[in-house]
Amino acid sequence: MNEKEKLALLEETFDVDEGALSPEMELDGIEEYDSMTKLSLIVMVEEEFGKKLTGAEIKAFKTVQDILNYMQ
Amino acid sequence: MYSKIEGIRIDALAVGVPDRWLSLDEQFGDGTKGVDARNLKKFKKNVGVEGRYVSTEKQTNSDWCYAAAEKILTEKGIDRNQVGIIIYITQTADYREPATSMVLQHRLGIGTDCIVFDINLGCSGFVYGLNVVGSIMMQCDAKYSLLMCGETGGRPKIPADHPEADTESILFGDAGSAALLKKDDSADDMHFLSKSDGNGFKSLIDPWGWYRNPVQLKNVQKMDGVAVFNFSTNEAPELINELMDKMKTTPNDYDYLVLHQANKLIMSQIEKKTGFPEEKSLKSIAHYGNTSSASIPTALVHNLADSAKGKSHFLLSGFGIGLSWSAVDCYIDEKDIYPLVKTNEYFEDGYQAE
Repeated sequence: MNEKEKLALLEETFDVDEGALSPEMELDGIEEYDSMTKLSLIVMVEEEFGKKLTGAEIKAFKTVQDILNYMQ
Repeated sequence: MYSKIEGIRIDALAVGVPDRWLSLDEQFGDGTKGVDARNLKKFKKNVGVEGRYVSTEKQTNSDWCYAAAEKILTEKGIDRNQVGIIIYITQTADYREPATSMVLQHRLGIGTDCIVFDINLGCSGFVYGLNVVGSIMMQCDAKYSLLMCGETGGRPKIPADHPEADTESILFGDAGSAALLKKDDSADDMHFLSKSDGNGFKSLIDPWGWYRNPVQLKNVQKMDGVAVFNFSTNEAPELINELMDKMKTTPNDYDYLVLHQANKLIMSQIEKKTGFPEEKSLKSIAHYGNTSSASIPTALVHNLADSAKGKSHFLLSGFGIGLSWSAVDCYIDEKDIYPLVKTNEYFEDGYQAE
């Protein structure tokens, strides 16, 4: 999966419009990145990449790029 | 831990609720309670709650459990001196002391040849309770037992006109269940797997207002959402799969899966990881919200109360606060599942705050 596809998947998970996210964006500033989105992120990462995200790993994400880096 | 209960059947199951049903739209739609329109829409979509039964200030969970149990005892014409065990599972007891099950014994007119106590468990409570009641019944001469479960979950403990009033819950709803268990040599065995992990006690906790932290700062249940989600979507399916391995069964062997109605996303993850098709998984969360230990009985009543079908094969699983999780392979006759009992009645205990 290339970066563009990952970003599209993340936009679907965040339930935002196509093109709404860019890698350098800070997660704190994204209104849709709330507790429910974090749960959807756990599900997406497990289903697409076979990884189990922990609370500590989620807390460590600061930017969209941090999540993209994890998505492999 | 594995355990097997022999010679005991679930003879009747009923659920009581308050008469008032509120949709999330009417309760939170005006945006004044900390839930904006976007969050409300997202919550309904992901968590799956559309509305819940919510009591007025006078009622507590034991009122709905009482109504459900009274319905069963009356309709079945049970001799109230033959009920030998009453266990009430709740985390929102009526009083600090004594156990609320004692009040239920009094109200139901059950004789004194009976052991009566409460168990403090949440969402795993119904399955744990079947295990505990069944185990005691196998060792005593009681013909019948009552297992009651649930929380006063829909309304805040501290009323709205108080300066430290709670926020209104968007997730939890009010319901209380009653199950009558009966000794019956022809009953199918019940097979349980149960686990607990006290290391997770902080994942879901209300630490205030009791002996460890007696000053009531605010009646807020603290939840580590990610930890509880990961626990529920990993440990519950693992336990269910372990039980099916042990029983040498697959989802095809069961008529229904009934999960604790935690939230839609959690339930759908458990269904995927255990191979149960969605249509076999009975749901009630949309109409009742999360009703803690009463949620498995609530899903049974909501979906099967008018069924004319006889005995069905069930896999039930509860999981949550503790952390605590349990699953059972059992049979229930669908004709023994009663229609929903609605009541606005409450117990006048004779006490009044000064």
